[in-house]
Amino acid sequence: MNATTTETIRKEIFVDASPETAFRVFTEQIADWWPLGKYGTFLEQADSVVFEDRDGWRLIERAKDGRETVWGEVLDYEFSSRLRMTWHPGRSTDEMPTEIELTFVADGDGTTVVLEHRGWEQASDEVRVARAGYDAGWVEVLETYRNAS
Amino acid sequence: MAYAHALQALGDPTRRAVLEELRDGPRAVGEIAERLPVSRPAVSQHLRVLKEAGLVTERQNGTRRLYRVDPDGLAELREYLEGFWEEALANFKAAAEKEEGRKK
Repeated sequence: MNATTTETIRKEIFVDASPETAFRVFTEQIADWWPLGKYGTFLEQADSVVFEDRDGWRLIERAKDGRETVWGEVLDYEFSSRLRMTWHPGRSTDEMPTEIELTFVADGDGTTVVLEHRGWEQASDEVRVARAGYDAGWVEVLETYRNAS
Repeated sequence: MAYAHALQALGDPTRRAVLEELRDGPRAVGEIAERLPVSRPAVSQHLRVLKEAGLVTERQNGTRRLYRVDPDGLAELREYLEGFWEEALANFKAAAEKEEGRKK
């Protein structure tokens, strides 16, 4: 697997806040800023989205009627500096989830936050054995056609 | 909401594999099935889902039905995700700066 195919989407933003604040707002206060009506499973029936520790941290979306769905599991994190998690909204279990990595880097009085959404082509071992050569992934398909158009 | 369908369609690894088989050009169901450990009916089913998701188009070529990647569907999906993350991060920035202001 190489970097060009794994780095699907990369976004960088400067936040006029300390890395500690930025990290806390991203995790503890995600319900305050996440555009839940637009991006979520329950949409207008959505109640909230929250990181909860259930045998490891998970990001959970809750509907007003109590239904829940897991968007992803935190793989590893360091407070105020980075967080890596699986990303599979809409499917509570996923053998090949995409992955998000966030980094928080102090930058003057603020913080530069980098988000990478990648791993569309990451295969479970079985799948990889079953079908070699999958590493290129659909992202490349997409890039090919993007460049061609 | 084509992108939502596209995201859902791509959640299945076999379906992604089927899509990838179309990278080099149009193919028939049988050609795809030969290259993957998946039956013809299963390939057909995956192609149908990919087509409904706007990721694949089909056309009749003589007696053969050929499937190809729909570049518009893929571009739309990518643009959607890019735009989504930009919006989410802008919201996050505003929330973090408000929180920081509260502390000062």
